[in-house]
Amino acid sequence: MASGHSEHAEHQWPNYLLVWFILLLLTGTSIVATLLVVNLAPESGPTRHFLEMSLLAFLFILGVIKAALVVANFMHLKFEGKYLWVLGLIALFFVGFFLAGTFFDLTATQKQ
Amino acid sequence: MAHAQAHSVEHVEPTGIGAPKLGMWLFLSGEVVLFGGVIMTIVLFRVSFPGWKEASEHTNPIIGSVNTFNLLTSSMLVALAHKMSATGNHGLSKLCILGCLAFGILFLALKWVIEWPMEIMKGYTIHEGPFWQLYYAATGLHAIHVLIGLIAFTVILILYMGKWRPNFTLEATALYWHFVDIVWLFLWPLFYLS
Repeated sequence: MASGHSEHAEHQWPNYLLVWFILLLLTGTSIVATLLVVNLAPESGPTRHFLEMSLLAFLFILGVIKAALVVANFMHLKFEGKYLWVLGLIALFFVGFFLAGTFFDLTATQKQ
Repeated sequence: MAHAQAHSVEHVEPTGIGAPKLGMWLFLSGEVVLFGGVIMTIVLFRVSFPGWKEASEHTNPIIGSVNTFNLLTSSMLVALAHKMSATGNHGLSKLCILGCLAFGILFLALKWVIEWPMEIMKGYTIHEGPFWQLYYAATGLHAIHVLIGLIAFTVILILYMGKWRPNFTLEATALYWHFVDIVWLFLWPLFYLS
């Protein structure tokens, strides 16, 4: 029972408003980057395709950063022990495993 | 009195993590695989399916972006609610849960009352190809998760109005809600921006 109390007594609280503000800032960055590519890139051609794929990668990276901020601060993972990290990494491993399988299947189908 | 206090304290396992929290993290690790598969499928389609880009130009980026704001704000509010509840500030905690509910309801209202009907009326149904099939399946699955979260928070808020204190229940439900928020952080750019 004492350990139950100590879990909350030792609880650390991040600055939620600051994290929220950073998340909104990153969301705004995603919108600005999209508007830049849509309005400034050529109508078609390889440059347009390259910029669109770069935008996709950029938005995905921003998504990963935002997800990491939410997991670390709102979900308190940065204050947790190793068990929850292991749990999360196992889940992410399986996502990667399924992705790799699907990707190889897709590329093989496209070659056919 | 001592009995009531014992009920308000979470039993901590040898892992150092309380059972409700560990249970929720286990559940969420399964959800990571489910939504991870969905998100990766969307990415693969975006990269390899020729008609994807043209179809994605017909979604409503303004509603999508407003809904991103709604979920981020509700996530922040529920994190604050947990903090307030754990530090004994129950009045503010209830207010934060109420705010979280309001933003969550706004999210669903924009999606199910405005966005989807507009798209369906324009003829963008699941018969219009892989983009719209994945769009309705992924955002629909996500919206059902939002609805479940809203029901859970409504029950918590109703019980919280009495003498019941939701520390660990609120923490576990908040974990679920943050996960739902994270899923949207990936769906939003894939369907509305890229």
